Amino acid sequence: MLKVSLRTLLAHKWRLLTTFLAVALGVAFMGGVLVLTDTMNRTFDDLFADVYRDTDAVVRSQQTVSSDFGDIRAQVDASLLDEVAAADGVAGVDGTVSGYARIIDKQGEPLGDPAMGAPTFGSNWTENDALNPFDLTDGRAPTSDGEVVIDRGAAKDTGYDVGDTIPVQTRDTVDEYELVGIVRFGTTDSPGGSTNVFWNTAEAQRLVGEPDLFAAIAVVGDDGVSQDDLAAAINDALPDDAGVEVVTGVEITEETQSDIKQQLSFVTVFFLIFAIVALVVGIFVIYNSFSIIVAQRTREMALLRAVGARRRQVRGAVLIEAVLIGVVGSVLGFLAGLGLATLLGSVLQLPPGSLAVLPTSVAIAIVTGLIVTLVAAFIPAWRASRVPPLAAMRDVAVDRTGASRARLVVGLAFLALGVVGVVAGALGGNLLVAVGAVAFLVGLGLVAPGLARPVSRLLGAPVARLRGAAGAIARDNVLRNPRRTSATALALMIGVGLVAFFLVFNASLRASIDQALEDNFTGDFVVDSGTFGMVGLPATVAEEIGRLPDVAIVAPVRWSPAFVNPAPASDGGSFEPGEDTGVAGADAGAFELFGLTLIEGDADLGPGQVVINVGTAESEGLALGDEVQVSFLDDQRAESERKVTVSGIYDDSTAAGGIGDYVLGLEDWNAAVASPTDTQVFVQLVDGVSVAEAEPELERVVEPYVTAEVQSVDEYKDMIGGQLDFFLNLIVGLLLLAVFIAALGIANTIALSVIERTRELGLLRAVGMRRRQLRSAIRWEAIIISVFGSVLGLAFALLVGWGAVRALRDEGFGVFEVPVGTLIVLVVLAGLVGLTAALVPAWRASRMKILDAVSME
Amino acid sequence: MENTSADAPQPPTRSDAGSVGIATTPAARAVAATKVFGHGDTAVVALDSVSVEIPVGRYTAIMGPSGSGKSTLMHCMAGLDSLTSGQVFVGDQHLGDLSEDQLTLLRRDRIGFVFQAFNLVPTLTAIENITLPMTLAGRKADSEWLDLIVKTTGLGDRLHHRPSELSGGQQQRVAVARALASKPQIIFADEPTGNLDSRSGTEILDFMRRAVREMGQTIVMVTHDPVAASYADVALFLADGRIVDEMVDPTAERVLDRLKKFGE
Repeated sequence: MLKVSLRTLLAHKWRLLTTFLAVALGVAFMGGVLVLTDTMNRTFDDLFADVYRDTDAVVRSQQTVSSDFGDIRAQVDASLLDEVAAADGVAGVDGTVSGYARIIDKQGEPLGDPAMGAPTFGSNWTENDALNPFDLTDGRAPTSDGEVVIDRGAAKDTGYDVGDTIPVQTRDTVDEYELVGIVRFGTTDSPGGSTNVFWNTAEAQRLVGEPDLFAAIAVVGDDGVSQDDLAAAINDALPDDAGVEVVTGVEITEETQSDIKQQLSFVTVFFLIFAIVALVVGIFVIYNSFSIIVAQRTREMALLRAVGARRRQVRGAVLIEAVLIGVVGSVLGFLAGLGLATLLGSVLQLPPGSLAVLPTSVAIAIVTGLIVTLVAAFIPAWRASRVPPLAAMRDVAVDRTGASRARLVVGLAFLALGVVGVVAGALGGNLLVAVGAVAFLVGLGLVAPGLARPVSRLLGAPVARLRGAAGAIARDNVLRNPRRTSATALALMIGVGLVAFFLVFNASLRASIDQALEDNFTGDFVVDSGTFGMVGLPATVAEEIGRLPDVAIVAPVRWSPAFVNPAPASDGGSFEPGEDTGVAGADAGAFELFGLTLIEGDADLGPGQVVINVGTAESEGLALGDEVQVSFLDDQRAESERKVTVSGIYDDSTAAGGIGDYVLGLEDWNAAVASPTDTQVFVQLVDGVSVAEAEPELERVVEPYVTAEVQSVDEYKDMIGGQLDFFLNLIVGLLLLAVFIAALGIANTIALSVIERTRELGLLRAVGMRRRQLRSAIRWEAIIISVFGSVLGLAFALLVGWGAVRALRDEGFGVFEVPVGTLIVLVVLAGLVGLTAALVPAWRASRMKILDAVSME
Repeated sequence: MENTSADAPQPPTRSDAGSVGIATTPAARAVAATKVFGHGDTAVVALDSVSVEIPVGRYTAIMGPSGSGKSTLMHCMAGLDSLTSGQVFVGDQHLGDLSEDQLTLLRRDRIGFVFQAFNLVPTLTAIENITLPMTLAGRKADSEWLDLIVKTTGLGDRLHHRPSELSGGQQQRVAVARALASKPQIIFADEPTGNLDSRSGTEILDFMRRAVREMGQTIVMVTHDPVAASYADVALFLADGRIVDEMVDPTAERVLDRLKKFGE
């Protein structure tokens, strides 16, 4: 049977091209993502192995707090440096200081963007050569406060050279420094595309750290001392209450490598989801191809059975074909994936070098491709084995069967279950929405053959009316094989449904934000520090804005990760950090501008006071007058505990959301943090002053802060909308792969159907159907199938989109919005996808020789 | 061309039609029609300078053993295939002057077809199949004419059934009705009874003869069945790509006798 399979495969190679592509594309994407991840992992492994090559131990704080950007670790007291240096076996030590810094280029634009790409570091220059992975290529190390060194990558990008004066932005200021040296990292200009600025230690502490604190202390041991012994010796030398831990060089390397891997794994999973969507769509395409091919070979199968092939052998023959397609498709797909990984690697500026092709990744991608093909081919293979030998002598009738009654019943049950799940999830605000979504999708898949006739008839009616005979024939052809039509449409349904879902979700989120701003926010401007809060505006900016004559209310707001203990230790004295959470800093003005109402107490926020939202009051059992312990990392008064009293409880159930769970007064905040900065400053103008009049004044105040932006409320909405659209576009872009595979499926179904209908098409041409009428009929057939698929997708998107938005109403989704125009465009585009897919089959059908089709020979 | 059967008795309707046919342009004609398949050593001459006229209002049968070129002649005269040299006309229209699209329109509007099998579009009902050429043209069928044809088919209540629900004979009657529906100048039938049992075959042949005698249609039928040929007014005999004989008012016996000579 293997020979039969091979021969058939070769005979039908063009018919199988799209099947093959459906496997290969999905595997290419999956393989590309896996290889890219492996390569990036290896790159970072190498990078950190280099960074810590000569580091034998690191002394660092035990305390960490989690934030949106990963864990943040507290710093260590600079005075520990001498104690560490004095420990047995220590050859050299260096305190490290590191934070955010951005070089401003000659055009006044900040270089790099840590929110979107590689980090932008500012650090102290490490005097100890063994502990410093950077080497000077030009000039000298920074010694006095006004001097900096930058990496060669940044120097090349900006055109700065030794001797230039360069502006550098740090967390709350932009200052100019003399460039005294240029460094490189090993053999590369800059590690992982990051930008690096180095000052002397005191200046680095002032700008990106805090005076008398180090991020950590790096240690080089004496020759012959093991890292473990060294760490133990340092541990012994340090006081027990120092709140620090000692890790070996090997440990810190592994830890950093695994942190990076974990962060990368989110990205990998994100992309793999789209690869899986593409492969699921591929299953439909492959299933359909095999079904059609088996149907067309009914006589051949029957003949095999008649001459003595067993059912198992017929089934095996089809499955062997599937294995061959799966293997060849997957292997070629994986090779294409290597190309994709190379391409993406260069986009991501990975250091040039060979890709990391790990056997596990190869195996995962290829085995997945193979499984997908086999799963898809199983039912067609089983059907092939059921062909009775007698079928060899019969004419093959048109298969008109839609969904069987049982299938319909089960499908309807799933649909009902899906609707119930989504509605229940929407009302309860829980994950039942997702469960319902899956059930609904399965239900749609099951009832689709049953829906194919009525829905296609409906969709085809205007086509038949407008396009005359060609339209009517197109409609009838869609109806003639509901199972085939629905399997083709379902592939497109998945892609279109997901795209539509994200469109609905995004539109609802935007509408919710707009409404929240319109209904509750009474301000006119938002001054944003930029870069997602990594850099802030010094408190003086808000003060300066407040002094402008046109400004009525100025409300600075800041956020920071912190430890909050809502139930202070009863035994008194001992400091318990509590859970880490976000704490906001604001004043009464913010509550006014956000239209937030106090249920109890007030929002004056004097020293020692905290305002909490209703939800926190309920969940933590806090009432007015209760004490809460709040401490920040490196809190200058941590030892003495910061106890604040609940002075107000506010209602954040309005669509605007609130400021935060815990809102601390600005005075307390300033006392606790060395360099307090505002993340955003909200401004309300005096009545009668227009936005246009006030904007230049505000712009002037923030001008020195390169990343800061003055935005009117409308601009602010657009900015948020733009950020949301960026993610929407990314997701839609990735879903296009699935849509493309579905388009291949349409092309395949149409092409195979045309082959099947050769005689019929020949007859039509003989009795006077013009070539363009025939092309038109075939194209409209594809369009109707596509629109059918996208209508199913829309049903899914609207139901699940509604459910998800309603379920998230407490997370700020106040409005469910259907972007009707966009969705109509989406359906039209889906129709165009069908049209495009049918172009080649339609053209070929119209060029077919009539005589070949009608003559009996 | 010689009429070897001039002395045969003529049916009463024939002389009427004949007198009209002589006075007008033939329904179709071929002039030195030559068709060669392939080239070089493998070239096969299917039609060897055939000249023939198909008179209006007559039922003409084209006979001949397989490979004689009878199907090729029909295909070329119907605009389904092109000649290597020579000319074919439908009415006074020279087919060689027409583009592919013009040929399609000619087939749609002026020619009717009945094939041996696969005559009907499986997704269309019987009546939709009958009116297909008009639908393709975006025209309404002449309802009186259509009623007449439909009545003649005897399909009655099966008009809204799809081909798969009709018997082979019924399917061929639908095909003949389709060929008649647009009142074409000429109908080409390619072995219309080839796939039918003899009773259904007789029905079709009767139907076609009535279309000629009672409705004044012109039919050219390719067949190798002497019984089928006996329904025609004239039988042309082809062998090796040439017309070798013509028989007026053929009977099955005479046709069979004539065919036997090919074997000798």
